Amino acid sequence: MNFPKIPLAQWVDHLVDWITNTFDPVFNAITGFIEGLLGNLVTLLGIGPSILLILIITLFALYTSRWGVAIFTLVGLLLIDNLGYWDATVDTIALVLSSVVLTIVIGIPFGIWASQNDTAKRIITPILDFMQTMPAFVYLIPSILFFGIGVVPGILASVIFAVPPTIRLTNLGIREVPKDLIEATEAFGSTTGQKLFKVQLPLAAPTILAGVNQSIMLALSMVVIASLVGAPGLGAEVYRAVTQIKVGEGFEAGISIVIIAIILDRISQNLRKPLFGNIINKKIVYSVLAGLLIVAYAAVAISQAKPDKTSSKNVGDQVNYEITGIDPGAGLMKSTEKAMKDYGLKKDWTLKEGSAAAMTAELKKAYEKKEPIIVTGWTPHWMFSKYDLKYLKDPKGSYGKGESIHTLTKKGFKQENPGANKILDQFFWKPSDMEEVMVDVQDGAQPEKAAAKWVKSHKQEVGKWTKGAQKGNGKEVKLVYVAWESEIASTNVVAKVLEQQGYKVKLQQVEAGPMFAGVADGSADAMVAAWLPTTHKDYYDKYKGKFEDLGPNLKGTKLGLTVPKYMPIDSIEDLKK
Amino acid sequence: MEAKVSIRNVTKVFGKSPKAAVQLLKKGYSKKDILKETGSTVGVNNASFDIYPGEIFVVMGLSGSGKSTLIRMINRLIDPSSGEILIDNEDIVKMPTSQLREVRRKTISMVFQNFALFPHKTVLENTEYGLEIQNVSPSERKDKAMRSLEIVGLKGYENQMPSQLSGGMQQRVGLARALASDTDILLMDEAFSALDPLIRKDMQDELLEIQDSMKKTIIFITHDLDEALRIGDRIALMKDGSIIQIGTPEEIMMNPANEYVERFVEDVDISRVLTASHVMKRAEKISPDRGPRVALQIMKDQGYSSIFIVDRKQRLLGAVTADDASMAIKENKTIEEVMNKDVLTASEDTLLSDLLEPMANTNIPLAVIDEEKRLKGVIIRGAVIGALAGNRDGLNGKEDDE
Repeated sequence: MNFPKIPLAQWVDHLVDWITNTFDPVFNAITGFIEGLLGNLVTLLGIGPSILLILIITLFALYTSRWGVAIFTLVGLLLIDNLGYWDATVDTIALVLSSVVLTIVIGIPFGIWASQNDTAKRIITPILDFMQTMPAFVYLIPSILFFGIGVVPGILASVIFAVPPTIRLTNLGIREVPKDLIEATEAFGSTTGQKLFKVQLPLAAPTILAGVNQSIMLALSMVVIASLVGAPGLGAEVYRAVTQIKVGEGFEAGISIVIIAIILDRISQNLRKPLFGNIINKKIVYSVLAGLLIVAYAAVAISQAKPDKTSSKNVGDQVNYEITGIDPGAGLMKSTEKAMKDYGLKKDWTLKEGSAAAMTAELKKAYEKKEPIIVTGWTPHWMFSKYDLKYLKDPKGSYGKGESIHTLTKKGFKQENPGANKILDQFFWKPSDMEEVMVDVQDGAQPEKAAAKWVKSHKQEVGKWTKGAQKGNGKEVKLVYVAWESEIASTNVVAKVLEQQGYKVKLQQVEAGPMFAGVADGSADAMVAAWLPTTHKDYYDKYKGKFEDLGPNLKGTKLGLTVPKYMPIDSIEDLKK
Repeated sequence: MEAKVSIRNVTKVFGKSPKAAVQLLKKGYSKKDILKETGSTVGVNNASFDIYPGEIFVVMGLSGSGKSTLIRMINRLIDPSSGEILIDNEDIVKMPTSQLREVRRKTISMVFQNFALFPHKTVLENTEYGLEIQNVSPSERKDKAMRSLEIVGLKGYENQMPSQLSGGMQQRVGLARALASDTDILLMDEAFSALDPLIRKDMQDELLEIQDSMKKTIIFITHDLDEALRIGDRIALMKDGSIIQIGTPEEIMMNPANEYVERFVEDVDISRVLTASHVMKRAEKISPDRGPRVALQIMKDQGYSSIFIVDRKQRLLGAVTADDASMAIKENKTIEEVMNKDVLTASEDTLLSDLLEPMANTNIPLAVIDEEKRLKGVIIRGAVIGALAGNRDGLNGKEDDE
């Protein structure tokens, strides 16, 4: 049986393309709405000195929960403030609150629907299973295409991930209302609405709130993942720490998330029956809180309203003064920060963090609509083969000269495995070679297959790499690489060549920091992915002396701000206008 | 009299293929065979009967006999598979939702076995629920609810939560809630089964009292024959979804339609069902002007040790024993001078259980009299003992055409 592969991926791609193009105005409206909402919320929460909000939250914790929780809240929040994560915490709280509001607005009606209608329940249940088991990362991909990078796809991915418990428990709570009570409401001639609002929902309230509590926890657990597409907050701090292996900072940001999680959990659990609900009626407290929030929010929203600027032809206005970046830990991001300083862009412009995948998705979206966009780009990258792009000139040299990609091995690898070491040492190719593989991969080929195809059609070059190297006879070589398209291509090609020579190759995909750490501590044998002297400078310096540098395997890379060719600017200096 | 509720050939089959099962039922298949054949369960099989205004109609049967299903079809909490249910001559089965809702609001209310009170509402809020959903103004519905709480004796409890009340009080709330809507028909689904026996009796008495003043049509479900006999004007007995016998309590007791009913009624405390009229015998009586000699002669002839004395209008005056009569002859007194005027009496519908104590305290038979003190018969110990022993042959059958 030789069935052709079902092109599921292509179908999904086409569907997503179609949705992106068809509903673009809707998505833009949603993005604008949520961004505005969230922006105002962040401003509102950050309006006074941090101690003000800390005290309000502490008082509220005291009202709803035990003394212990209140003390924990006070101490925990003061600690976060002291560590310097207050702004990130405000971002995170705003993100979680927005997700939870959306979760409630979406989840409870769906839960009610599922409880009233068995067919609806049969349809919704498998979808919920799907939503909960599908890795949350996957939602980020279409989210970026629909909503661009930033906080909105993060919120929406959080909502998709967090909404199932609310739907499930709303449904369960309503269905668990004793049958004789339902019969009683019906026997007295209640309408469906009366049955729902007078009996079912009040009785299901504890279960529904338990579901909302779970949704809050899930939304919070999504903040780290959401930071991959540029959501700000504690998640971004954690993500940055991971990519740069900063144990201490990672711990600080992590513990901040834990503190927020415990506070949100305890308070939301006790909302229904506050500890001091007897002394001050909860309706009064909640009304006052809600009233204050609405008034303050309205004030913030009005004061934040910006003048309309769509008529302006300025490049900065067209792209909203945003440069779309990649992973926060990348050297390219550091260089971009430097460039923004050098060219005096720091004040007006923001560099959006995200990931390489998110950046290319943004680019794809803008490119197809011929919209202006500025991204942080580098060569070799398949996007240069696929789209007509240009680097902005860098007269001040902020991005330095072109970089090389180096091959590094662990200490003593040469003695341990001279054959493989020789191949790795002789491995050298051109950016155009690499892009050939990258485009294949981008068009849907498996990296191994694309690498094998390249190796097959470039026998002469491969011959040069393997010249004089002894056969492997099953000896193992462990290669690490970072999941950039360029490194996926080069590592797979090298792996293919090593395998042809009889080596058993084990590939491990990690973040940039762990890649260096692995080679430095000897848990990996080698890598062909060190961008020098700029991109990976920090890691290179940090682990210097703990690895062997076999020199460049590719020269002539380039970094810089990249725009589509249809944009009427040529130099970074043009951005100042 | 015109029927308030008419059940006509109503059948309910639970399961996936009710139509096939209904066909099989028509062919006379049993409940068991249909379950085997189609996997469907017969809830109610071709029930037909009428319920008249102002009567307490009891549906009785063991668990699983289909009585709860039947009562729920009357207000269509369960839709019948076939048949008609006429309420005030309108078929509720064919009603659109809005009209059905009106009927449920205005015509039929219901009391549930486990009270079905809303735990998040106070007693008052529970009581006014039926009115609340009809958008009756708050003051009016509070008035009505307070009045029905007063009827069931729960005034002063209106701000309690149901969980703070005992079972009996909770069921009074359930009853008050049903009464507050002021509907003609009251469905009571094993309303008192969850209560302990003493409270249950109280509630039964109270229901009868309420019924006396309110004259509702009550359809009452129970699995307890004692309860059915106590409160039912008529009883329908169900088994396996079919109605086996419908009749007054006496008819069910005395002429069981088949062995099943007979077995069902066997365990009943018969002394609480049979009345004086069932066991009384013709009385030997004379007028006082006949003199003691005549009285003694009649007693000798008939083999009695006592005789009742009545006036010309058959009103009971007293009784004389053979000893009294002999004494009167010796001392030359009239019957009126020697007769015992404090004869223990009972009325025709006094229950046997209430006769036992007076019977033990007298050596002459008990006299059964009507409201005008006319002597209708006498009760001798042997007849009572025979009846209690289950010997129905000796009973006076009540005429069916009363």
